[in-house]
Amino acid sequence: MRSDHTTADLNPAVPVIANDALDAFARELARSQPRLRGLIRCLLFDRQDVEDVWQDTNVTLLKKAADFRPGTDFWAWASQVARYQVLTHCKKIKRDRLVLAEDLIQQIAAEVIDRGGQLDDRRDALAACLARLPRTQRQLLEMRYGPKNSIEAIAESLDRSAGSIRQALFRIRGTLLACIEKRLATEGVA
Amino acid sequence: MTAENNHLPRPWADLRLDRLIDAAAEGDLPADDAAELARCLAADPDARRRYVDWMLLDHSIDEELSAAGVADMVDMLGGQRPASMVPGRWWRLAAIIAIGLVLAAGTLGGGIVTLEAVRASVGLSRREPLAEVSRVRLAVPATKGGKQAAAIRKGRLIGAERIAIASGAIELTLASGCMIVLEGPGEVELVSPNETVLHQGVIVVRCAEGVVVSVDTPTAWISCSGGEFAAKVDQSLSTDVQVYEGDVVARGGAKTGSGQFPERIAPRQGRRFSARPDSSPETIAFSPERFTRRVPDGTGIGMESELENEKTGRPRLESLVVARASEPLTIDGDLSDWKDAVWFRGTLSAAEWVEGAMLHDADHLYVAAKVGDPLPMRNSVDPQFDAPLVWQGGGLQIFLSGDRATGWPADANGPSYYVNRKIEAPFAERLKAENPRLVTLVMTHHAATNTDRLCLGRAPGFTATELPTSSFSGRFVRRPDGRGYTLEYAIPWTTLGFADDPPQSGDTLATAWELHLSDETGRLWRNQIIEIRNQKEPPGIFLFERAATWGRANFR
Repeated sequence: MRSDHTTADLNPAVPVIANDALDAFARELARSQPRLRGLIRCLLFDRQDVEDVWQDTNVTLLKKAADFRPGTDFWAWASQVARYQVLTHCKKIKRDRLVLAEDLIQQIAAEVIDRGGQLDDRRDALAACLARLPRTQRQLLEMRYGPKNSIEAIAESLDRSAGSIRQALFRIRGTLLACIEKRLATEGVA
Repeated sequence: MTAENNHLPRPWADLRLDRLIDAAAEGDLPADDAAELARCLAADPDARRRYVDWMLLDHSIDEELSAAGVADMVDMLGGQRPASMVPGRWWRLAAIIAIGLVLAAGTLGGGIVTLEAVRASVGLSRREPLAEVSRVRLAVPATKGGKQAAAIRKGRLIGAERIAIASGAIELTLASGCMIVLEGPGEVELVSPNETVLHQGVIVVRCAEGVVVSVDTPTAWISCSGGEFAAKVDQSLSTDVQVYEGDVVARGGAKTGSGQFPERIAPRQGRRFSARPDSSPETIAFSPERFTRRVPDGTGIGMESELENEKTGRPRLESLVVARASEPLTIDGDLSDWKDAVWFRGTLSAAEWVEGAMLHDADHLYVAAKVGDPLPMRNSVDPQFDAPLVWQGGGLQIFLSGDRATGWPADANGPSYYVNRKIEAPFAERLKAENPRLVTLVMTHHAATNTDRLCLGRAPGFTATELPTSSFSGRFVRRPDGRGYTLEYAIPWTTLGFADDPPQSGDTLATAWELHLSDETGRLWRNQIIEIRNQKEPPGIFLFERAATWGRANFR
């Protein structure tokens, strides 16, 4: 039996966008996630700030979904939103944390945005380079990036100094970067 | 490089810049160094490029090694990976909802209200999904008109429709944020994010405070504004309502007298509304254990012992690409014609490793491996006599699903899964395990006869039997340095029993690789390398025990 008191009216009226546009939007949004987060990472030093701004950017994009027109350059639009979110966030946190100056943010953002699809190639190359990393180096990276251990915590668990862990991570990153560049050069992407 | 570093030899300046960037990436940059880095970046485009390279590297390592990606964040919420796990046309919407679950809420605990928030954000129409299947436990869909309904899998999106299960339980997350646990046998119909009809069986509904939901049954109407209650409709169509907590009102189907008015049912109270039109509700005893209030997560059960867990390896990869072979392959152990392959690598030690790849075409599955093994190709177990034990002498074992309907993860537990954990095998699970499209292949080189062999086992037990050499092509070739080998096999789909519906480009099926290494006698198993394993499954489950442990084979 049905009640006389329906609750359907509790749902807010929401703007409806065409299914095709919604499909395209969702596809582009999902595909852009690694790039968006990469862009924001380049503009902020603090990893937690990156997570916050990444989330804010996506919320903004979701709210503006109805503005998206299939066939237009989603990455250009989304990266502009991300850049704006970074600038807004920097204004909020600059008293407490180190942030890049606004003109430098714009310069670096331009560098990242121009790379476009190359970011995906670099990620693929990294996966191959990680697979070739010696096991101990890989394990150290996993300790740092997996559960987000602090360098001090890793140093304590391995009975080494924090400085030596920093140095080891620095060298591993350098090795990976060289490997990526070599792979991209070989494949003619770089 | 920079104004202040111009006097320095170039490599030193590069190193200094790298150190500054690395410290920035680590969040360890002192203010003075930050100022120096900023000056470098402002002055030198090369420095900016290097900075971007380094920060993107940090970001990509993070993505690769942590659970920071969108899909993983969604997984943390108990959702699904949009592209790989939600089939068909709904994946796009799943992506939005999945992203919205994390991003619109901003906190992991905010899942209750986020579906609605996302719906509001993207403007889903009322024809779009009203709920997502968030947990599934031993659920068998009910038959419809004599036909078995589609499997109910975690992540499935449900619109305004009926959903019925014959046994087991499922948990639905409604767009309103409310959760509904449906216990089988039972059938519910979703009307809106706030309205549900219970046609038969038991549901337990829980909502955050202030979120209103109503449930209609054939004999009662129940409404809750935050809290938790159960409703049961039995064969006589009477409705039992039991309130665990919160604000619940209900009324029966009485047409006359006081039974017309809704009444509040307090926590720890129960009412029965009968189908008789002139009846008043009866008070029934509250029984906290009477109904299923939470659906346990559907991941498998590992072994209790660390030693047992260690035996199942430490696989790192969850998926591989099975590319389509663009030209016929010559099965001779020379892999130079594997130009279409996408290789993966699993490593046990510097000397013990495997690089593997699979290809497919309309008629064959192709398997190739380059193996590092200081004691290669010594298998002395003759599959003619001891096929179930042939793995002990070393070789490659692959598990593969050809079951497109199930997709990934595969869903079958072998008898040993229950035996080893001393738990009962539910009847529905036994039925699922009888799946002829779940197979294992064991490729070995029999040293005594210098022959390359293939054994095939099928679910549920995966007990292998040897295949005649006419039913496949295979070749092992020892490495020139004697510290490994390559193998190359072409296995017709007909041999696997998949010829009626072979895997195709675009399919995501289940597979797992297990390289067995033997001792010098070629009879005693010494170690293994397992790769391509479902990372959500706990360690301590052997591949032959539970098909859900297999990783993904992405056919391209």
